[in-house]
This record gives sequence, C-alpha cells and structure tokens, in this order.
Amino acid sequence: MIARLQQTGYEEDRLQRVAKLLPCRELQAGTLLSIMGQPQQYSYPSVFIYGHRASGKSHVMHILLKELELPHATVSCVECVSVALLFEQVLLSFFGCDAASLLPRSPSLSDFVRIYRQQCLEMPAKQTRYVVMEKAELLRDMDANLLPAILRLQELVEDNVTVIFLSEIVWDKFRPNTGCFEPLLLHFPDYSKGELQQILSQDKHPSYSAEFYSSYINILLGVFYSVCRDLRELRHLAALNFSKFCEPLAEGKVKESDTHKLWRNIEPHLKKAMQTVYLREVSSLQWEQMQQVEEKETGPLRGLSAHTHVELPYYSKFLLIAAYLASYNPARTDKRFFLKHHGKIKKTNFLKKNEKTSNHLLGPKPFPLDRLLAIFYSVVDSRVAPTASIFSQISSLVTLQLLTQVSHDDQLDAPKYKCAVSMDFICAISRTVNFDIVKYLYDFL
Amino acid sequence: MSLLEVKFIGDGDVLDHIVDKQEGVQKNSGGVQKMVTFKRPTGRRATMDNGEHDADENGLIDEQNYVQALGTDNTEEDEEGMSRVAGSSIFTFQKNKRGHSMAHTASELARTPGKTVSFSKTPNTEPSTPTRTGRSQRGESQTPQRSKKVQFVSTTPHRLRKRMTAPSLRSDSDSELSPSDSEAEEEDEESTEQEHKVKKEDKENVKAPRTPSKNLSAALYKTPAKKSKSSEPVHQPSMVEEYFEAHGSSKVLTSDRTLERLHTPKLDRETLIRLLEGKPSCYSKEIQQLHKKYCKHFNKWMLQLKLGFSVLVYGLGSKKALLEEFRVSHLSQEIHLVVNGFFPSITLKSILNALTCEVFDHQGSFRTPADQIQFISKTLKDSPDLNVYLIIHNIDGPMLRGEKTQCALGQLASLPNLHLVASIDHINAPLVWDQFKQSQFNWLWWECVTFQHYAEETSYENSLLVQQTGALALSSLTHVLRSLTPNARGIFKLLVKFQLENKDNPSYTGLSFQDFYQRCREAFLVNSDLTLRTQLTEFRDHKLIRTRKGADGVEYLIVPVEANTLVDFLENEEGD
Repeated sequence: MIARLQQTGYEEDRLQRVAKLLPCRELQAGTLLSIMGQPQQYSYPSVFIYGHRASGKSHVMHILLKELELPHATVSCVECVSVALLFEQVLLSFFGCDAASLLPRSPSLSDFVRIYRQQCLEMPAKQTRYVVMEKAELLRDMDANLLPAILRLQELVEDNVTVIFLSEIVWDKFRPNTGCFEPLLLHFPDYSKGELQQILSQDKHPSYSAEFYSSYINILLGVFYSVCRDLRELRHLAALNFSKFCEPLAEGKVKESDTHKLWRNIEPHLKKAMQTVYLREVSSLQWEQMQQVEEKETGPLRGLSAHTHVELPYYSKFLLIAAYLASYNPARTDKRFFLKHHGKIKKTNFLKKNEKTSNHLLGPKPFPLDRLLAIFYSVVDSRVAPTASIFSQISSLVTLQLLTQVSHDDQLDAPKYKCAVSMDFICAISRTVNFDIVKYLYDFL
Repeated sequence: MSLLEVKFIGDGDVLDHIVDKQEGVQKNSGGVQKMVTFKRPTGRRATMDNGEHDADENGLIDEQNYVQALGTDNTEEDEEGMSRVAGSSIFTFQKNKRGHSMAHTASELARTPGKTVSFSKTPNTEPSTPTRTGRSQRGESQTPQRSKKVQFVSTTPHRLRKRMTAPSLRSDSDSELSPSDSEAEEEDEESTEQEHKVKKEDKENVKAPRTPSKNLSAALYKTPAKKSKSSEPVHQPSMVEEYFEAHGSSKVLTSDRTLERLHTPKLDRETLIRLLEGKPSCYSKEIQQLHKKYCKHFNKWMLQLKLGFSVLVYGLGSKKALLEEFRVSHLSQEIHLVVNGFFPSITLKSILNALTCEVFDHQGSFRTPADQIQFISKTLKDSPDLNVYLIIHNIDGPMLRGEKTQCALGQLASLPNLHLVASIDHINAPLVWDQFKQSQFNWLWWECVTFQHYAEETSYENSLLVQQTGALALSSLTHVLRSLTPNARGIFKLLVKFQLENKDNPSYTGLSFQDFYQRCREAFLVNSDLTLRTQLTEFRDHKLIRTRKGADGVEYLIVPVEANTLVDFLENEEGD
C-alpha cells in the first residue's frame, strides 16, 4: 500500500506518515503526488478534483500539503463573498500581511496580478505554491473573468503556482461559454462499505477492544448503509449511540463476545435514531440526554416537525382555508361547491383532462384575489365586511409564508396568490373552526 | 306624465292593501289620507279617457299635497318622494309581519291554492283593456295595471334586500336565483296579499273593473312549487353567488365594437379638457358643504399627529384639495413636505432626497436608501424639537405601492417627530400593509368622501381614448412592459442598456437592426430576425421605440425616453 506513495524529493518517513493518515485514499494521494512532482518542479497549472460529499477531497489535500510542508493557501469560496477577500487571503498566506495591505479598496483582477508579481520578485518560489479552492462551484457566480484567470494563474503571474479546485460538481458545469484553459480532472470515488467499516473502526473507544468496536460499526452500517453513505454522518451516529450499545456490558448482563444479544439490544434503538436524530428532528444533545434518562422512552418527545400548529386569528384561519380551496380546486368546480342551486354537474363530464388527475399531486395553483374573497365569504358563516383588517390579514399571511404571491408585477390591481400550506396543516386549522374541509375538496369527492 | 301616474296608482293601491290588512296604529293617518287622495285619480281615470292632461295635473298636485301632509320633505321630485314613501311603508310593514311570519306561513299556505283558483276565474271579466293600453303613450310598460301592481309588491322586499347587498344590481323579474330566505318571506307576503286581495276583489270589480293578467296568475301558481324547494331559510350573501355564477363558465365574450369604429378614435389632451370644461357639477354647493365639514376635523388631525398617529384619508373623490387645505391652514408654519404619489415618475429615492437635501440641508449622497433612512432617523432623534410633516397624496400610487417603498415609508412614519398624512384611492389599497407595516404606520382611518374630480391625479394616466403626448413616464413604461412576455422584456432591456452605455456619446444615433439582432441571438431571446421584427412592431405600437434611417440607409433604433427614467426603470426591474 505504502509503496504507491513514492515520490523523490520528499522524506520517506513523512510519506509514511501521510499514508497512515489517509486510509483508503492511497491511490488518489499517490496520483496527486505524482502530478505535483518534486517540490521545485513546475506542476500542472490547475487541477480539478471532484467527488461526492465526504469522499476525502479536502482531507487528502490538507494532509498532503501540511505533512509535506509545502507553501499553500486554502481558500473557501463560501467565505469569499467578494473577490477582494479571495485575493487578500491568497496574498496573506504567501507573502504575509504587508502584501495583503497593498491591495486597493475594491481590487480588480489586474491589481491582484500586479501585486502578486511585485511580491514574487522579492521572494521567488523555491517550491511549488498551491492555492486550494474549496467549494469551487461558487466561483461560477462571481465575475465572469475570474474562473478563466485563476485557471491560468501560473501563466499570468509567471510563478511556480498550482491552483487546485475542490468541488462536488463535475467540470462540465463549470466551463465558460468562451472556453478556458482545461484543468486536469481527478475523481475521488465513494467509499465502499468495507472502506467505511475500516475507517470508522479506527476511532475505537479506549476502554473496549478493537473487535468489540468493529462489531458495533458492523451493526451500525447494517442499519444505516442503505440510507446514508456519508462518512461524517455515520461517524456522528456511531459516536452518539455507542454508549447505549455498551450498556448491557456495563450492567454485566452480557459479555463482549455475545454479539447477538448486543445486536438485539441496539437494533430497535438504531431504527429509532434513524427516524429522529438522523433527520435532525431531535438534536444530538436531546438524544444523549434521553439515553441517560433510561425510563423516559424516546417516543414521547416531539420533534421539530410535530410543532406545525400555528395560532392564527379567526378570519385568518378562514382566509387560509379559502386560499387552500382556491388553490386545490379547479375554478370550474366553484359553482358546485359554493352555489346552492348549481344544477347538475357531473364529476367526469365537465372537467378537462388534466383536471381529472389529482390536484394535490400537481401542487397548488395560483388564484386571483377576488376568487379568494368570494370563497372566503361563502365559507364564513357570518357576514364579514371587507375591511382593511381583512386585507392586511391577507398580506400578513403572505409575510408569514403561509401564502405566496405569484407574479410580482401588480400588487394591487389583480394580485395572484398560492396557498403554501400542507393538507395536514389546513385540516388542523379547519378542525379548530369546525369546518369540514374535505367535503369541499374536489379531490376527495 | 301619464306614465308617472300609472306608477303612482300602483303604489297607492299597494299601500291600500297593506294598510287595510295591517289595521295597525302606526300608519293609520297616512294611510287614510292617502286613500283619499289616490282613489280620486283612479276613479277618474276609470271613467275618463286619455289625453285629459288637466286631470293629470290635478293628480300631481294632489300627490304633492299628500307628500306635504305626510311631513316628508319634498325637495326631491314628486316621483322619488312618492316611491320612497311607498317603499318605506312597505318595508316597515314587512318588518312588523316578520315576527309571526313563520307561524302564519303554514296555515296560509294551505289555503293558497284555493285562492289562486278564485283568481284564475277573474280573467273572464276584463272589460277596459283597450283604453288602458291606449293611455300609456310613453311606451314604458304596456302591461295592464293590475299585473304591474302585484308584481311590484311581490318583488319589492327582494329588491330592497338586493339593493342593500348589491347596489348595482337590480333584477325586476322574480328570478329563480333569488335566495331562499327571501322566497319564503315573499311567499308569506303574497299569501297574505292574496287573502287580502280576494276580499278586495269583489269591491273593486264593482267600482272599477280591472284586468288581472296572465302574469299575475302565473306568478301565483309558481309560488307553491318554489316553496317546496327551499326547506329552511339560510342567510347567504348573494354577491358571492353572483361571483360564482359570473365566473362559472370559462367562455369569454368579447365585443367587436372597437375604438376604430368611432369617428374620432382618439382625442388629444386639449380637446378632452375643453370638452370637460364648462360642465360644473350640479351638486357643487353640497360638495362645498362636505368639504367644510371635513375641514372641522383638522384640529383633531393635528392632535392625533402630535400623539404619534398617522392620518389616512380614504373615500370617494379626490382628497387632494382637502389635504391642501389642511396644509395651508395648519402646517404653513411647520416644516412639511408634500409628495404627489400619483406622479408617475416618483421614486423612493426622490422622496428621501427631498427630505435630506431640502429639509435637513445635507449635501452629499448616500449609497443605499437604508443609509439615507438611518441618517434621517438619527438627525430627527438628535433634535427632538424638530417636527417634520409629510403629506403624501395617494400613498397607494403606482410607483409607491412596492414592498420596499412602503417599508421605507413605514420606517419614516414610525419616527416620533415625523408626522404623516396620506390619502388612498385604490380599492385594494389595504393589501399594501401587513400587520408589521400597519404597526409602523399607526394609521387612523378617516373617511372623507369628497366627490371631487380626480382632475390632477388622472391627468397622468394613459387612457385608450386619449392620445398620448410627449415621452413615456416611468409608470406607464413599466405598465406597458409588464403586459409583455419575459423575452420581449429582455429584448427591450438589452436596447435600454445599450442606450445607457452610450448616453454620454453625443454622436450616438442608435443601435442598428443587424447589431441588435446579433445581440438578441446571443442572449437567446429571438430565433430569427422575423421574430425580432414582430417584436419591434409591438414596441413601436406602444411608442416604446423609435426607428430612424441613418445616412447609410440602415435602420437605427432608439428608446425615446430620458436617460434618468431609463436608469430608474432598470433599477426597478432588477429590484423585482
């Protein structure tokens, strides 16, 4: 394995340390090392590394650059809301604060290049300098000339510099219209189940044996592997649930080797963890507290999504109900629901073909204000005056994001809205005002 | 005149019935007097022939006397006064009846068929129809006297109720659409009516034979069937039903009567003003009175402004004169700023600039409106004695109704020593403010129905009937563009951007068509030059662009709008 990580110009023991720190990524690290070449050699101007989330892109880069003590600047493109921050960070880590302070207030690309070259004359690179761009997909949203310029930075500044882009998106989505210097593409594949097992088993608990922790990881992967292959997520879950796994052991009920009993103990617990803590319904802290308080079962605690009940004013409730009816019923069926003597309307005959499919599957449809008010007046039992308060309640529902305004062009003349609440929500609301909404929904006839 | 009389007698007879039936104490004197005055014309008409205008005059005078005797003010015309009395007495009768109406209905119903049978016999005796039809020369209604009377009575409650809910709609026919509650009451009324009428029948037959018509009998026959349909009276606003009725079918009816059919399809502004001039309102005195009445509130407004409220004036008619009066009488000694929200090129920036430059004498510019508002609030906080009054005509104007603008105005209004007086005109104006903004504004709503013309407010609007003059204003520019497709908007924006880039270049003649086509193609806005040409024709129709032939025979395109307006327009578009 270690044999792959070989490159002249670096010390042997350092390479071995790197190899130890990069389990299951020897191949990729070896390729990278061979691209980088010897420290003083010129490397490829830009390397583009892509792969799924938590496939070790940043980790491999970071370990390599740090352990081999290469000069580098790591820039997270999320942090750089303006190009000035980006330039500043690069200059800072290569030449110190003096160079960074030379940048004007709102620097352009040419300012950056000019200052870089100035500094370069004073302290020319003895080794290849590396600029690592994390989350490089955000570079596309910045100035159009930035990405092509960074791709051929080596050429622009005439220095031994290599830019490494890390992204979860393939290169094809980056390519500008006018073309650019094509970087070297490097793919980081996903970890397999065995690799995950191997990596996760590394951080074992000191008071238990390695085999015991490995069997725990095995059980954990058996439950979670089908839904989650994210290393970080799995590691977090493993840390959270390990104390529960060890419980029978601490009580002295079972021995370490009795895997089946341990599995029987932890398996329902892990299933519950998948529904709660994995979806972040229950925070990790709450989950740990629940494990400590044994008698308290994990079920009764209501997660975040259970708190969908919202207290609204009386007329706002009816406005929301009317909006829901207007959004999910075809306008042609209004006569049938809200007129007393509508005559005979058959369900199948008078509807267009696309209306016959469920409106709840297709999502809410926009409706004009007057239709909302007409349905509102017909569902409210008492007579309501169209006061300013009713109108501002409509606007407030928009502000609360229970309704959304469609087509922003005229706010007053003929505004259109959509209802943005779910069926469960509206059913709960209509129950509080004793309104049977299902009776009025076309889909449920 | 004769027509007038026909109607009166109808009402009178109806009143007779009611008074007889009711035998109450409230309406006794009026009823008796009326019977005296009204029996006379009817009797005379039965005997006399048509064309006797003296008789009609007499009748009119009698009616006037009657109205005076009743004590109602007769400043209005006779007819109106008369019908109003009739209507009100009918209405009160109905109210009295309502208490035990439901109990009555059942027993009355049982007897109704019998009565209708006796009615249906009466058509046999109809002697004087020819004279009657000959009399009504105005040709409004050829229907015989009797039927009209009955119809009127039966529909009145329905109509009244309708008028209360839907003032614009009046259906004379006793329609099937009428809400069930009114049916029930009508029913009840008609049955009592019938009972009463049968009593009257023989008496009238002796005195003056009438012509009961098919209409009457038909209406009466209909009622039992209707009754069986509606089991219980439910209160339902008919406006809602009318909405669904009107929007029930997706068929769109358009007329082919276009403006081109007119002789002069478009007036220009001067002609319009000339035509509108010299048409003073016939109620100018009353309008002045209203105006004076509202002026009395000014002191209250001042107090409320001082107490931290903002005054919002709403109602029919232009409120500009009222606010101007308020400004002159109460704010002339104070620092105040008047904003014309109806002005089509007003922006938030111009309001804020006016505040900072004119009121606070601050030179220099601000980067964002938020900075500017912060500066204003800081200045006002530092000097608590400084009171600034802001008068906004039409705070719901087309350029001010945006979310950002209202947010900024709300922030201003929430400052303790900046006071806001505003007026609204749009029917959906309260939609602009949600709860948060309302709490910022702290409105006090004052209803001021002035009935004054929107002379200045509407002068900027572009109407179909009026020719546009001069350059497009910002609001009409956005208005026209919003009705276009996104692609068309993109094409126009491309041209605007190019023109703004070249605005400092005096030798700029415009963008040539070929060049423009290339740019549009690159932006994926058009696929062929034919599409672009059609699009340009549309722009030309809306006067958004102008074309000019250059010296080399190439078409050059230009947007005939000022550069500042274009900059504002682009800002607005990007803000959305």
